[in-house]
Amino acid sequence: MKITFPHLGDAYIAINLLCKEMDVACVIPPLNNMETLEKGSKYSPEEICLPFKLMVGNLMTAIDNGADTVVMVSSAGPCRLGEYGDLLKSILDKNGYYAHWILLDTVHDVGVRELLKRVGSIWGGEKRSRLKLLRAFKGVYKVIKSLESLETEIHRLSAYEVEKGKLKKILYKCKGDVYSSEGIQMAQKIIEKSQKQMTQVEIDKSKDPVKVVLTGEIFSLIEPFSNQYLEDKLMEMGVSFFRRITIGWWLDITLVQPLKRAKAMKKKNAFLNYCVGGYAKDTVEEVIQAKKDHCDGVIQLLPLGCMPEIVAKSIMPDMSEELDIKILTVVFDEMNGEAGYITRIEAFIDMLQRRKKYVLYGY
Amino acid sequence: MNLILLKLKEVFSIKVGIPGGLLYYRYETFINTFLEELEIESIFSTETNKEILDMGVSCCVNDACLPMKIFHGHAAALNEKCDYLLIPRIMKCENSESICPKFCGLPEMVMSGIKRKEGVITYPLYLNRNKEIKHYLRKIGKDLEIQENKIMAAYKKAVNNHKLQIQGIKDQGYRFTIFLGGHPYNLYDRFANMNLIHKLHSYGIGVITEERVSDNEKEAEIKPLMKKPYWLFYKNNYGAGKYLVKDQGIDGIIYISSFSCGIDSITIEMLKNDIGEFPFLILKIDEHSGEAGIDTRIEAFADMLERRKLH
Repeated sequence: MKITFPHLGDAYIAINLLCKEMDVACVIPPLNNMETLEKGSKYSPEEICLPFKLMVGNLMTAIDNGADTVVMVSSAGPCRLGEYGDLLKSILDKNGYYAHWILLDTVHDVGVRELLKRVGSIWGGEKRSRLKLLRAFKGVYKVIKSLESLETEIHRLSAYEVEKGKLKKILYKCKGDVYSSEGIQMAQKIIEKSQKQMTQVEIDKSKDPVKVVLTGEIFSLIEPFSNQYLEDKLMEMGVSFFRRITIGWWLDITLVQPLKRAKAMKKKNAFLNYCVGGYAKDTVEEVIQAKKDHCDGVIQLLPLGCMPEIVAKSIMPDMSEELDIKILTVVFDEMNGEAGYITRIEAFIDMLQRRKKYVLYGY
Repeated sequence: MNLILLKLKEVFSIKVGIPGGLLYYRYETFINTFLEELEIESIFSTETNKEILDMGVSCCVNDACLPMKIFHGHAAALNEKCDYLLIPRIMKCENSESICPKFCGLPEMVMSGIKRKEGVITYPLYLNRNKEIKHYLRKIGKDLEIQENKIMAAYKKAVNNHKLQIQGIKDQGYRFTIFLGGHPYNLYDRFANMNLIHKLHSYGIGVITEERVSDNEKEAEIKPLMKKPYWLFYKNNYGAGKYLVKDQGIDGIIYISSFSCGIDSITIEMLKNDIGEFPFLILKIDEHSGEAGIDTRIEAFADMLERRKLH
């Protein structure tokens, strides 16, 4: 039995480590590229969101490469993600890509026992100790958390570095090394080494770059291909930016600290008080937090037709006015007009720089 | 004296605005009975027309779908005329099904669209629990200063009337019968769908809608899926469509869907994959209302049904 899964940002690094730890064979589809997108768009319904199209491409390639079981996360929120499973299966079956399907719903929807049963079925009925899984999960969780803290720090610092591009190189080398590492301990060591390297990079503290918060729909944010490698571009432009939404954050809210999440969902704010599915409420809260942190601007990313984020988008003009913060909404689809995105993001950053230099001078 | 009292009542009475978009068509009887029983003065925005659509398009976020834009138009038309604007925030449907996220965030979208901050009734509405519905109505009663027992009496009557009303269409005596799928606000809004049902009738095509397929039959059709669908409109249209095809009571399916509808993007594909070779026409509607295009396609579909019957 060989499992596979659709790509979601750096999740493949974590799942690869987890599979190595648990001795499960897994086929990782090639990182998202134009071929994936073309394959996906060809077989998916026209109006579905971009993540789905990429996932179809991923899974088709993976099944071609010998995978026979698809593991897929799912939800019962009103967002489309929860209904992906059946549609993916229906499309793949129709085109002759057969596989066994395991849907991992949240504990809240199916209960702990059912979830554990489904997780257990990944090993094909073989009884393994749950303790081992728990230990492996804990280790991988730590790895992913420290990798993300490194990433966040590099996103913040890259605007200050003297010699451009050094920090970015460290980040990508670290990710590659962790992916090909033997186990959790080795991965931890690699990250520690990279952290040390990061502190040795020369930075110029007198610089005053614009600070931007990235927020929006989770897939567009953490899957670099779907946002046209926006983060790399921001690093090149010398923007100091911050993105809270990561794989680690997602693990926190769904598995590690669901109670804390439930409490946070009840928290009220002046703009959107109810969970409308997806992470629209978090997007709104991010903007409020960005204002508190004295950021210069917010960039909201969403795939075309994303239902929850449209609600957030419709509130953005109000928020921008009341909080006096600049917000750019970028909608991504499979058309891939890269130049159009770059122009808009550059113009936004230029505007923020001018505003910082002249309009807000002395504040 | 009476006249003065009447005048006074007119001045002090509170007017509640009811936008006639989205699920208004489904709960029309309930809303009207409830308001009549309580003698609340209400203003209903008219049926959808060009003016309302234009207003909606100008104040709604551009990524939203046609029904959302129409609802914004209705709300904008009422904005100046009423003291309270009722914008339901439907969180769960009758059998705990979910609904499109835009329904849950509808008040925020409309309020930011029409620039109205005060006098909007936005409480969350969970239709799956009677207790929650009563709670919702009580809160409205508090806002409008109406006694609780009056509200409960009106609620009882409204629920009874709602149950008595027969929803959906099942035509008989036409040459062909088709299943007309889609969300209620696309099916019954004659402006949005360019009077589709009337047009179909003129080609001798009768219509069945999903409301006339019982819940048990729908449930049986969605059983084979890996996961129980959580959207109301997905479950209804997919279940009903599949059942009717199997039942062989219909000659074809027409699915009317608004452009960039998230739920329909899944429903249509699932239905298409599961019914095999069967006449299936998808009509997309948006704010550009290209009526000639719709006409041509319906005519072609009618011709095709005719030929299929002959051979």
